[in-house]
Amino acid sequence: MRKTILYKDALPAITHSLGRYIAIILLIGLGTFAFVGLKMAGPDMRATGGNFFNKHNLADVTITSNYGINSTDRATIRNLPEVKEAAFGYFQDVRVKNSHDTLRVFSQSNNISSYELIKGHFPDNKREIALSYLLKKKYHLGQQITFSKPGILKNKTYRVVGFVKSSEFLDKNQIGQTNIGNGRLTGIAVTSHNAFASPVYQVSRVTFKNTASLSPFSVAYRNRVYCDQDKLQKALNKNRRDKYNKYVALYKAQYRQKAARQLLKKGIPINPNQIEVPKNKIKIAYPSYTINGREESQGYSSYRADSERVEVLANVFPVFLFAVAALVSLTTMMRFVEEERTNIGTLKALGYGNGAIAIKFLLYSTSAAILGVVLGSILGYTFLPDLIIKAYLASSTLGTGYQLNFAWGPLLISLAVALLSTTVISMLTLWQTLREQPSALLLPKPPKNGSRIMLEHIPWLWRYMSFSAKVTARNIFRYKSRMLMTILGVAGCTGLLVMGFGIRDSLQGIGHIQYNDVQKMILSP
Amino acid sequence: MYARKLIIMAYIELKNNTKTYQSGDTTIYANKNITFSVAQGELVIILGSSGAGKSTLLNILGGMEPNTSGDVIVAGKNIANYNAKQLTTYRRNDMGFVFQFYNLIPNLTAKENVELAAQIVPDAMSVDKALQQVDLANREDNFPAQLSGGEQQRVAIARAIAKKPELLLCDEPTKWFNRINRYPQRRYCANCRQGDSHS
Repeated sequence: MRKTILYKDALPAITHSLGRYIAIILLIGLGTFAFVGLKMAGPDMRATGGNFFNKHNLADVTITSNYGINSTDRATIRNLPEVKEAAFGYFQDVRVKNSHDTLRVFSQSNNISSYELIKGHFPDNKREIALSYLLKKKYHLGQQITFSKPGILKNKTYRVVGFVKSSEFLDKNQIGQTNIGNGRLTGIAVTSHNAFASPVYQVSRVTFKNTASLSPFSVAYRNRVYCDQDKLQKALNKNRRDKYNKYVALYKAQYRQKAARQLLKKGIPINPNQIEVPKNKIKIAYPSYTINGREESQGYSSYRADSERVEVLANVFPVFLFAVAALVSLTTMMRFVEEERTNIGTLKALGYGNGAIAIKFLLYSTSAAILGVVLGSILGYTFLPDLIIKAYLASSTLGTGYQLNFAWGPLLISLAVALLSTTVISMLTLWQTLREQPSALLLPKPPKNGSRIMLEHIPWLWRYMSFSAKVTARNIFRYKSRMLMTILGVAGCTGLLVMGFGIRDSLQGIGHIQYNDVQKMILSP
Repeated sequence: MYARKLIIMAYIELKNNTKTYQSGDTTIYANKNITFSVAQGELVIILGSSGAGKSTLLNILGGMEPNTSGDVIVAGKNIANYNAKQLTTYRRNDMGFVFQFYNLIPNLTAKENVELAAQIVPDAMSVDKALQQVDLANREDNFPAQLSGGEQQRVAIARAIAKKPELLLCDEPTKWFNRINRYPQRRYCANCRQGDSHS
């Protein structure tokens, strides 16, 4: 049995009701677009971050100490079995002369937490410096900058040779706090290792062996780091006592020297070693080591939280859209099968089997579903995550060059929902129709039984109503499913609209209230 | 040509054919104990006032509706016992039906409507030949909406005979009736029913 004519009949079914066909495609496309886009934005954000961190081998933890990191500490760190790589660096907070800018100048770091070169080149010697790319507009290449108090930096003046992006600092606006200037860092800078003169290192950057294979934003990663970090902390804490004793001895010696000099001025020569140092005069802080994970750096944890927040949205919004899409597809397909009742009867009478009769509806519904999903996916994997990431990363340094990935999950789920509300529904409706006898199908469907609505049983009210009002009331209460659909559809859309406005208005007010009503003081240097 | 059976036994035999409908407590009889037989090659016309049950009888004979009790034997087979699948095959291969309202597929041309019937049987009449038989060869590419009522009926007839069925059933073929003598090839049994205007 050939079926070519049945396929020929399937095409006009689409082209003669193109509006209906396209409506289904667009609605399913919309639901898919929202679902896929929202589901992918979070993972895309994290993939972008993850790739950046991997590329620059961002440290798992950084170690600082109030007494710096000496050779003993270095050995402790390197010898810890959990440690994969360790690097040691200097930094100094400085004020730029003739400006309000405060920079944290780091020594060059190539192996761990490396910098991304944006413009120019890295500093080659102790007279060259590269600045944060966020200061690209304030400073230019070749410019000489001078620091008023260079601290451990050997030179005061440097030539700007490049602009870099640090993998350690993610937030565009909040770099960190400092003791100098107005207390807020303007940006970071990098110069060569030998530009610094210091007996100890200010910072150590460490990567652990077991974290390499873990996804940087995952719970597994965080737990692993806490675990290893704890071991590192315990190991370093053992150095505290010796360090303390060493600095106490140093302090005592200085105290003795100073006291001896003072006594000498008064004409009393005395051996410094004979001077007692009272315990209450020993004002030394106890050595401590601070180990910071990635979460402690500004912008890192909010980056992760934002990415997870978006995914939660994906479980709410698209449900609405898919629900509307499913409802419309449902009723459309049901109506389609109804309209074809006599044709179905004719085909049955001619001796066509159920499978052959189903071809037209199968083609219609499945093609609409697939086209809708494809259309929605094309935009959903590209346009929407792009939009969302741009919005969330507005204040992050990771906001450029982000990745847009593909994952099968959202696509397959959308396809399942689409096919459920088109193909499955039409097949179910068709099945009902096909169960009837051909003779019954060829007869026009008998009109639905009229019935009285409750309102009619209140005679004084019923008499009061105009004819149009009566007809409207009948329609509302007789065709409950239609009424329900309309109400749900409008309610859903209104809800989404109001929510959108609500979010916007709520967020707009925050800045104003916080900085005008709550924080009434601004301190300036 | 068409095979003729030289046996004397009847081609169609109805024995106590009954069709009832239940409406609450009451039973409505559409057909009640109908018994008759038709020989091969016989032309039969069924007349009756409206509501007599003519359409029901035709539907039962055509395998479009099951009866409630009794035997319906066509070419030796009791189709009253057929299941849905067997009835589908019966309708496909053995039976040609011309409907009261023609029931052409609106999105297909006249030629395609006839082809719809021709393509499901292995040994069909050529579509062009079927349309020539009803004098509509020149309108084969028109859609039903572009044909007059009589032309639509002729397409329906072409569709029915294209299958070369054993049995041809026609429902309300008023316009067609005049032309039956024009087609001597059709020597198989035909049941036709005329509306109450002629009863």
